[in-house]
Amino acid sequence: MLKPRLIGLVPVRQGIAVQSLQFHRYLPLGRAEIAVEYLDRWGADEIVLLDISASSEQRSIDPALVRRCAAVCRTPLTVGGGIAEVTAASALLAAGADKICVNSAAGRDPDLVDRLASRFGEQCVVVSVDAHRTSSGWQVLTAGGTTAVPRSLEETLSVMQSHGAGEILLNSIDRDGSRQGYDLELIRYCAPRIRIPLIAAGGAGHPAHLAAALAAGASAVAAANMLHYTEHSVIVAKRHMQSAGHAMRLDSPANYPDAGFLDSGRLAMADETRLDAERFNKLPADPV
Amino acid sequence: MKIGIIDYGMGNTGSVCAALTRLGAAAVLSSASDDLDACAGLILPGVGAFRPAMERLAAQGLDKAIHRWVDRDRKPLLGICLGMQLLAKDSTEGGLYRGLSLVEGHVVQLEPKGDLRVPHVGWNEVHADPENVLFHDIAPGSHFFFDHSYHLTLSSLDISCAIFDYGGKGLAAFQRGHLFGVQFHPEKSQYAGAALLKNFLAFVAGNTPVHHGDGHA
Repeated sequence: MLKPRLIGLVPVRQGIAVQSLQFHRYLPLGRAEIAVEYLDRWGADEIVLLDISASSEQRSIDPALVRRCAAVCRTPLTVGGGIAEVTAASALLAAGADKICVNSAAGRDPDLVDRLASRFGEQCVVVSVDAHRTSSGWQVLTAGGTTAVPRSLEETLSVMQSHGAGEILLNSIDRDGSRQGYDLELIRYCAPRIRIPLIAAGGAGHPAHLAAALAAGASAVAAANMLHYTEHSVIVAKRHMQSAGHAMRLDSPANYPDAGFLDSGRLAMADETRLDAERFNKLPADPV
Repeated sequence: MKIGIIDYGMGNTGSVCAALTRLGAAAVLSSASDDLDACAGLILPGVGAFRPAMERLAAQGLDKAIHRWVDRDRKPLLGICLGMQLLAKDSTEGGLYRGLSLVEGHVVQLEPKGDLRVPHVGWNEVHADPENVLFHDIAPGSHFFFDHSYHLTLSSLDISCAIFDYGGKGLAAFQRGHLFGVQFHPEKSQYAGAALLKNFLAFVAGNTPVHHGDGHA
């Protein structure tokens, strides 16, 4: 059976991986390839590398950065940031990307999605949709949340799907970096309106938020900040989702089979007998 | 040992090269048949649509070269995802288009039962014939990464060696002698994927190719 995915997001600004807060404040994390390598080793089901300053600087994500990340990434790697034409996408796929993510350029020119899909197949094209809650409903923004798209959220979803999007990466601008949980209403609104997979993003702070987004209709969940700061964060989060009833892929060498959890979502310490018994167990080396 | 990655401008060639390099193979990415002639085994990668892929292969004369490598030189070849589908007789993706016809089968749209979404994206369990050389030492039901809207249906299941289930059973891998195809992406399937590529490399190392002069017939 197909397992729901936990996707690690790596936003990059000016070549540095960052933590993003509501799309307008940023904290530096360090080198993107190191963030990618950790997410990969910790069992992320996919990794999305987004250059969030590329569009406004009228360039696309640097293929050299993609190459460095791909060299250490054994997980599918989606890349995005300023991709506005097929040639740029082609160079990125040659550099090690597996899928292409478009946002601003697709908002201006939905035919871009057609051109990408007819060349690389629909399954290769992820359209990122950034939604913002207003008093009169949802608004779709592009260019890092600075430009309004002249289409409603419902129209955006339907236009992108009919132009050949393979997946929708749905971001809640309001929840971005908040650790308050995904905007479940937003997910519930969008999931029934498309036939392609929906990836929820924006706001995850606790493993329970991930399971809640799946329950609200997302096919996959993406998180950035909550995954970058603790060792084995991805495996632990997936184990927590498994305990909430979602069958997850847990085939990394370390996968915490009998883990207990604290209310914070962190692992509880194993009992003394267990720790004693494991004291002299030798773990197998990384098989690859 | 040199492994050729057939470069026809379609697909995640960077990922395939990186995966082979991690396994210590000398990956040669090329569209020149001279370069590929010199390789012990070949990979036909693919992320893309069927028709432009066939057009690009034909425009570079690679369609005929692939037949030569497989049928005459008996070089091991592994088709990945679209690369596997291109080995079929034809595909209904965006019309009806002829493929390389190296295996008896047709490529058709995925139509999963129930309310499952298409494309089929993510990690799914693969149930393989444990005796198959490609799946040596890979636990039954291991996860591999899939990302596709079309799939290969074989005219005869004799050469099927692994299946997946997504609202119905589908072909995950086949082997016909030294010709292999996988619908999933081993280059992006972490441990199990690396193990599968390692098995392919071992098969290539143990294969005795047929040499015909300088290989430019």
